[in-house]
Amino acid sequence: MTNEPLIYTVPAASLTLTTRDIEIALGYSDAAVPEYLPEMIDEALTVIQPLLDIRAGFRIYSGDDVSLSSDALSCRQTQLHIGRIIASRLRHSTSIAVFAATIGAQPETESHRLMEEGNMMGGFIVDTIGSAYAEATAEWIETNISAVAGLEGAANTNRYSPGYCDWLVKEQHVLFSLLPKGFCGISLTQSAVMLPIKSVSGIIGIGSGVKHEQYQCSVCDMQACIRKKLTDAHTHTHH
Amino acid sequence: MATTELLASLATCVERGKVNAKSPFPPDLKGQDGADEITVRVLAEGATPQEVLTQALMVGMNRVGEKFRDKNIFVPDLLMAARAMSASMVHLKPFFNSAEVRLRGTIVLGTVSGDLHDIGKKLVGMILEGAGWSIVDLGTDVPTQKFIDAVKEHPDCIVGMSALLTTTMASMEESVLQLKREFPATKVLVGGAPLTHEFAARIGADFYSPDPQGAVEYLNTISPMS
Ligand code: B1M
Repeated sequence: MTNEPLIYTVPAASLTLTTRDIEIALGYSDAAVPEYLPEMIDEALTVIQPLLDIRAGFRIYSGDDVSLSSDALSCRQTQLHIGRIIASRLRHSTSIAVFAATIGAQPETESHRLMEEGNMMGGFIVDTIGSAYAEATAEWIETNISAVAGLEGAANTNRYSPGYCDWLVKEQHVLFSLLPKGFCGISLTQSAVMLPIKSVSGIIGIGSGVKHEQYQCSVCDMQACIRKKLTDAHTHTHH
Repeated sequence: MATTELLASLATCVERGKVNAKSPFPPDLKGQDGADEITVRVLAEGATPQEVLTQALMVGMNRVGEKFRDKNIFVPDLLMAARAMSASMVHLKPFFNSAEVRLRGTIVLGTVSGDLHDIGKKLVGMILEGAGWSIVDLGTDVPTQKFIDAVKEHPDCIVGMSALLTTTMASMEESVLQLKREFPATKVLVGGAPLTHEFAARIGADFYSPDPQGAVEYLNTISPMS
């Protein structure tokens, strides 16, 4: 498996986001969609598409370069404190892919411009579409890593990101030290915010003994989970 | 129509996001007057601007805030409601500098230093505005000093801070600490996805709410509107 960093320029057309996907991202998975919305979404999709500058890439660390403990991962001399939950999911990985993905800064700029102009609705929809594209790009790079692993007869885990489970966001600095400087055009602020904003980072475990889990959150009982807090708030108040 | 009925339909226009007569949304109110026209009518009928604010706009926005909290409506519906409210406010603005419209007070809002999330904080601002507050939005990546300067400029204000990442919760802690050191009596509210009640209590904030409506309800208790 190559250890060279790989970067792809991803054509927007290979990430298919439909009007319905955006309606769901806006919250309307069960509720009736307001009549005005589909047209606004279509318009925002047309606005955002030429502004996308989608880049995604990864670097694989393998063999002696990788070691895992019960709550940390080492790639060469660099230790990532990924926490117990993610470490247990990565167990049996023989290689680790460190990835980052971005849709570029222009959609964000356009969203701000619309809001400054007083068009909060347009700005918000463009922002939501940008987030959906960022997620779709992360999905795209995961599929790609999966294909690379598959070529060697290996499987892959889900993707895991700093800021999820018990892996702290501040570890972004460590994660990015494992990638070339300015990887995919992404930079990190002191407070570990990626610029452009619509970017995602993480790791994926590779090996013949690992598996991709379908329902990973439902089997986890981490008490301090932010995601759990957010979903619980949802289910408790949903009528 | 009597003013009480007009005020009630104005509240409904805000709640349902019916901006004006031309607006085709929501479809069941198509062709009917919206917030814009009804405000003109109710003022002409003798309602005071204060009554329009408290008995129509705030009533409508409160229902919107509740539905949003309960996930019965989503951000686009909230933004439509805010559009309807703005269409009405245009007619109230001329009274703002006179004593004819009294707001509850001023809220200084900002996303803390190092954090660039803007939209959540903007939505909080809209809902608080709909609850009768004047909003001073300091934007994102707001250094502590900027919060302090804003409190000096608006001495009776309440401060609202937003943080969306655990890394920037540290700057929230720092800002609350310094602000409280300089202005112990100034109330500070905090919010944002990764926050908890425990964190808010530990850093000395007066209140934490996971959603904008929680902030409205807390503020109503400390500043009831006559
Ligand atoms: C003063 O009183 C108050 C009262 C209420 C207040 C208030 C103040 N301030 C806010 N509120 C409240 O009222 C507002 C209106 O309802 C709300 O404001 P919000 O801003 O929360 O709401 C917005 C209107 C809509 N909400 C949003 O737009 C955020 C939604 C979620 C799903 C989310 C999204 C969409 C994204 N993300 Co990410 N993201 C998540 C979010 C999880 C969630 N469900 O909240 C969160 C914020 N993200 C998280 C993370 C970790 C990350 N994200 C990342 C990336 C992304 C996307 C690009 C995919 C996308 C866009 C991000 C963006 N900034 O534009 C990364 C960082 C990006 C960067 N630039 O550095 C990355 C670091 C992951 C990674 N390693 O790649 C988590 C932060 C947790 C933490 N540990 O800090 C997170 C909570 C998800 C999780 N783990 O469950 C309330 O919070």
